[in-house]
Amino acid sequence: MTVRAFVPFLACAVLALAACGDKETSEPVAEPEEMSVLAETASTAETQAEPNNTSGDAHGAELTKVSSQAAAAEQAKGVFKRAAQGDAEAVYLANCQYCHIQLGPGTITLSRRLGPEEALLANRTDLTEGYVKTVVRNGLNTMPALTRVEVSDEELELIAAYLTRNNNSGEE
Amino acid sequence: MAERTLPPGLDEAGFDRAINALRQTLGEGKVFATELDRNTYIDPYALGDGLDHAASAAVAPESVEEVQAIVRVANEHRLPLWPVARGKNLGYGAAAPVLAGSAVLDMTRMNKILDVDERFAYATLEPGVGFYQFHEHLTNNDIPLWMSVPANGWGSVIGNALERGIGYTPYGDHTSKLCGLEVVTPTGELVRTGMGAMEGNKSWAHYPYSFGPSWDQMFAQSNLGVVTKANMWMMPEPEMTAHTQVNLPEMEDIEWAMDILADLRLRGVIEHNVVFGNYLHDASAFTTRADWYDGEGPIPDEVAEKIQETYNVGWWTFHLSLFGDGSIVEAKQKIVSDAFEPRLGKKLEWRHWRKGQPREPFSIAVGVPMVLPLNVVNWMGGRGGHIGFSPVLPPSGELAYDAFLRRKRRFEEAGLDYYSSFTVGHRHIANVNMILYNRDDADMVRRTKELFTQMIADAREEGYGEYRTHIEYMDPVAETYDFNNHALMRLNETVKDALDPNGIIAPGRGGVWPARLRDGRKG
Ligand SMILES: Cc1cc2nc3c(=O)[nH]c(=O)nc-3n(C[C@H](O)[C@H](O)[C@H](O)COP(=O)(O)OP(=O)(O)OC[C@H]3O[C@@H](n4cnc5c(N)ncnc54)[C@H](O)[C@@H]3O)c2cc1C
Repeated sequence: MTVRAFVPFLACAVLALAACGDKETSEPVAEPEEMSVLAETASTAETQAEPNNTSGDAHGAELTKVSSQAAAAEQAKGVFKRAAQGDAEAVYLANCQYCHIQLGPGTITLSRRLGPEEALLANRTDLTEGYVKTVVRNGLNTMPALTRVEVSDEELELIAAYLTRNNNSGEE
Repeated sequence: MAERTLPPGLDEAGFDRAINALRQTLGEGKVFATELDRNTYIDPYALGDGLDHAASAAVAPESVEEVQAIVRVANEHRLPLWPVARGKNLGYGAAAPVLAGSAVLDMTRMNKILDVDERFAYATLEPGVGFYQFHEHLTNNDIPLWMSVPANGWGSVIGNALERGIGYTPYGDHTSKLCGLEVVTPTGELVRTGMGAMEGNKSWAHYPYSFGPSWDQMFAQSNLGVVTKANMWMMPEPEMTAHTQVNLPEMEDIEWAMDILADLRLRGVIEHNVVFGNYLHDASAFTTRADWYDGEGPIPDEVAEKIQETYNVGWWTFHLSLFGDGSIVEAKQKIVSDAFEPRLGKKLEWRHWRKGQPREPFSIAVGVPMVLPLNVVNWMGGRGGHIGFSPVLPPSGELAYDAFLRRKRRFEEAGLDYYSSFTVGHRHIANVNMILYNRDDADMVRRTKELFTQMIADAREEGYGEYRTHIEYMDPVAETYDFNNHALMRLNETVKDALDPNGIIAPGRGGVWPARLRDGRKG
């Protein structure tokens, strides 16, 4: 039987994500004493971080809050409205922000697989357009495939372009 | 990958004629029939490869007229259609049909927010409107109305309500907040239910029943029409909220705590669905099983304790929220504290939010959508999935404890981790037993299926039935509703045949099959 020290790992992940990328820095990481929210498969309201949470970990509750705050912060910028006008970043966010946002399920999974620095999709510099398209249409691990009704081929072009915008020239 | 599965009664040529007719009627870009398209509609959490519920194609209307046109073509060509709103019914089959070979009628692109009435607190929405999209609209326009959202916010406001989904504010019984639907019938006619049946009626979104028979629920969890728009009541932003977390250290505590909770719910002190869940909920959202335990069989007690400690949860944990004017919230807070504190032996800690402050807590407790719980499917490793077995119980501590022991034993026999919530409604418990599995582990999938089938039989024996089920289990669950030799099924079939003579809309939905396909019913 093993009980591994994964919670400090997640705490690092949230801090790393908060520090990288300009969008993320605007999102506060919840203070330990702040009222916080627990994940809702489980539950729906907040709990106070217990003083006996001595490890200094980011509590599940804080993590959940960061996750929904991050998405809402994007919505505040009118993601769906801008996406309808063909803004590539907004098209990406309107379709992918559910999971690929700070502390979203996609980010947590990628953090586990590749480490926190690689976890936030929008900050990656190593994705190719072909890879993005393949994953979107086929899914990957627990990521469901997205239909052409939800993300049209034209929108997928914009998403792929957006996610490869920071790649060094010479790479795709 | 997937071979094309054709619907019963259609050969290759007949199917191609149907698809071509749809293309001609709708124009390009609205009919999706490539292999890739079919694959994207396979249930991502399927128990196995999902091909037994594979769609043959998808069609995406953008207007009511197009929905009518599609339904007419489908009638002409006997092409079964499986309507979905956004098709994010994860854990219940997602967008995949019961009947393999059906074409998915995907309403994702009908996503107009037609009206939001601040004064009378309702919205008129198309089925493609998602929770995130609607949240953006409400917050960016400073509309002081709150949504109620499910724990997976990827889906559709109307789709979720038509599936009788639930959320966690006082408006969380979503289907009861529908007030007037616009529906394309299986023969392509356009109907408005409720007061909307009168041309120009001003009260469509105000009074649900209208005059004479009332039909809204006929279109929920059904295969009797395609909903093209609906009015949804919304919660006016409260002046204040209060929130607390209750941890119960022992599994037996459910008995006394449920009785208190049910009474507070019945008397309207607590007005929201309460997720009374066991200790796995947070751990599965943030970690995988392998982080804690790599042995076979269910998690041992000492690991369970470690999980509880790490996440500051009890064997059971639930969160309570109070909403309303300040004096009401304060009075209710005292009632709730007085009810629980003597048995808990400690004070409840309450946190408060007042209008004007940033919304806090920032969660589905106050109608802010998120999808974080989707992570639970990673629990078992591999390509994960989950399926919920959710019988409805009376809100009694004794019955809940009994059901808990029985279900938990079955999970243990199957060698699977017991993950459960006794979600407390106004006068009932929806006991959501979530089986988390690894799709790539054939033996685990087999055990999951056996466990599910066993629980259907057990619950039937105990006098309980499910409130909603996965596409794979629609027939056996419908079968448990057996009063007077399945009189309800005969009624359903009579109505189905009258309204849908060609058996076009969602054959097998809710276990109801049209006459021409009844022989193929799996039962
Ligand atoms: C981790 C997790 C947590 C979840 N938590 C919750 C929760 O708290 N509460 C909850 O309710 N669900 C929950 N779900 C289940 C599901 O994801 C949601 O209910 C989701 O909202 C359903 O998807 P949708 O809204 O896109 O509906 P759809 O999939 O579009 O529709 C659901 C069904 O409604 C019917 N329907 C939809 N649109 C129409 C139409 N226009 N005309 C006729 N019939 C129609 C169809 O039968 C369809 O299959 C959860 C799932 C997961 C994986």
